[in-house]
Amino acid sequence: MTPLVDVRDLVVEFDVAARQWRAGGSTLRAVDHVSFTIGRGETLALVGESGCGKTTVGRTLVRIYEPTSGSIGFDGDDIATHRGDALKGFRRRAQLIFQDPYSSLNPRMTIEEIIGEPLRAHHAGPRAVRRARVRELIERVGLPADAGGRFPHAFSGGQRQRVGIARALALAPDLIVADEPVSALDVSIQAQVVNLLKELQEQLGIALLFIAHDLAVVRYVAHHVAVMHLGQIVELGTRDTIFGDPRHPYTQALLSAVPVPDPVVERRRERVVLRGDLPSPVTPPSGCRFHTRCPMVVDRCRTEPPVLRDVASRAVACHFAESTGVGR
Amino acid sequence: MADTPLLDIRGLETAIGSRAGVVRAVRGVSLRVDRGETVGLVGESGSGKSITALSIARLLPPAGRITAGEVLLDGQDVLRLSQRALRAVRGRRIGMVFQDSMTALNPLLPVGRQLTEHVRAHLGLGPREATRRALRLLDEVGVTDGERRLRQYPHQLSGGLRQRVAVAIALAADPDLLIADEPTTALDVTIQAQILDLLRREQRDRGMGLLVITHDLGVVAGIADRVAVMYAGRIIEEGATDAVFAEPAHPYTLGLLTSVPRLDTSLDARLPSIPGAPPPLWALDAGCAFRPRCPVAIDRCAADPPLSGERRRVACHVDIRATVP
Repeated sequence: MTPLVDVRDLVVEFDVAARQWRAGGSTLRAVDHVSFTIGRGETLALVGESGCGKTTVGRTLVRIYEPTSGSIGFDGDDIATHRGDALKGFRRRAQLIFQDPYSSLNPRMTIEEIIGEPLRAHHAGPRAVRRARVRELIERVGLPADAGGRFPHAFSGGQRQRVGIARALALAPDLIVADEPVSALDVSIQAQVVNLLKELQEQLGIALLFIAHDLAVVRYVAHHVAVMHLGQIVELGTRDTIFGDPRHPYTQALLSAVPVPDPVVERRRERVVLRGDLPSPVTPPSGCRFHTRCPMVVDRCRTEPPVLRDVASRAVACHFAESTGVGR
Repeated sequence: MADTPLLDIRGLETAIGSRAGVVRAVRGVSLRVDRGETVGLVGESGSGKSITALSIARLLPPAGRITAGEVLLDGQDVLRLSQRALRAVRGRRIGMVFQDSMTALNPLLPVGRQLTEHVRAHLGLGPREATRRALRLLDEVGVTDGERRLRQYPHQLSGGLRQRVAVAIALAADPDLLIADEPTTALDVTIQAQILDLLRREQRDRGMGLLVITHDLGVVAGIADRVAVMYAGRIIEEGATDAVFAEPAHPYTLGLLTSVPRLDTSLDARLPSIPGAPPPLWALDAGCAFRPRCPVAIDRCAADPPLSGERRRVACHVDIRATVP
């Protein structure tokens, strides 16, 4: 079966505005030849640190940003260059959930209007049908039955995020891009929303691109994981492969940096602490883009960019992926 | 007395004026931090942990007011100090690091100026000596190329470097107590690991007291000797970090610990969660604030339980340690 989403060699560039005191502008390649697939009803998590390009991939996938080159296969069509009605048809099937449940809901609209807006925009049936659908969604995401007539300010962060989820579900999409959907929420609320997303996704068979920096959350929701670093995917595989036997030194460092809520474990842990900061994506390092921070760097890494290749049942971009396994 | 604690907060009450009226953000918090000790103060948004931290150095926003309690630093009540005496305590004896290093630093001054200004004001050093000390501090907190960094402005530094500079400033006058309010929340995990390493090392080498305020239980587990958990303006549990994590005594602590997704546990189908949400502070009644979400609540919980115990303090009528295997 062909996957629902088939992204190939996606490149997204932005012009970095020229400043008065600097001659000319430059181009920022935020996404650099990224390829991945998402099956129906499957969750792919896109992880990485700030500025790695994960949000840009998500927004380009639903055509908020224009791809510079590459193809975006969706249910057999390349939607990368769709316009007009074709684009609108695609947008009906692909929805977004945002990080900030405060700024992503219009404070002047009632919950019913917010959830019903995609239905109205896409002329999904007469008013009575749309209202019934909104009521159904309110119940489905676990909001109180009387929520419809109230405004966002009356709700907590967790409940607002449920509103955002209901809005994304309204048109029964095939794909949802969720960009850090739980990172603004408190721990006790985060778990509720993670569970809800997972449950809905399983029941409704929606494909989910889950963009997150929190690897512990990702482990709970993802079937596949793609690790991004400076605009490129450096490792991609099933959840158990990536978490159980990471081969890219960057994936290993990311996993090792996540604090574990257990003082005994924390004391015994051997950490790979990366030195230095993420290099600028405007002027990425030569060779392997991770070489300036890699604990295993050798001369070859400084000159020769590693290609993403299959090693030990995942794709990984490291010259030494055969020997970087930590063993279990 | 020889064993006067470095910091001894007693019955602190802080009120904040808001549109909904005056809210009791901190409701009778008592907490000690000894020399050479790291204490983690954890809680979710609105639990009062940051307001507690700000109250210690009397840095509350204009709408905030401390209405009762004592904040004893080496036995001396910070809340009774004159503005002049307070200035000698802030920065000199209590150093502070905040979450957002972009707003904590002055964007219009090179970081060197901000460091040396601090050193000169508090230690009375001359300009040349102050610069020497600033360079030594930058080196100590792991900022390389110090001469160049001193001339740079905050926006020219990365988030991690800015936070290192903020730590250097907080340590500049050799404080006895360092308060770090969500010091790594704005940072990526790999940078967070660096800053936590730095804080651990400085605390150990200097033997200072360190109070870390955070929402992240993983951060507390890795840094704190003791932990205090706040909920709706109160400390609901406090004890040695190992003991609290191994055997939480308050149902909220237990709920928090089990709802954190972890990298090292088996994957259950669902992540345990705590139902409901924390109560708005203006709608608290006389009972235990956690009662509406509590799985083991009983009739007695309609009266707020006091925080009691010696080495482990718990505010709960039900001892869940007896019921949970």
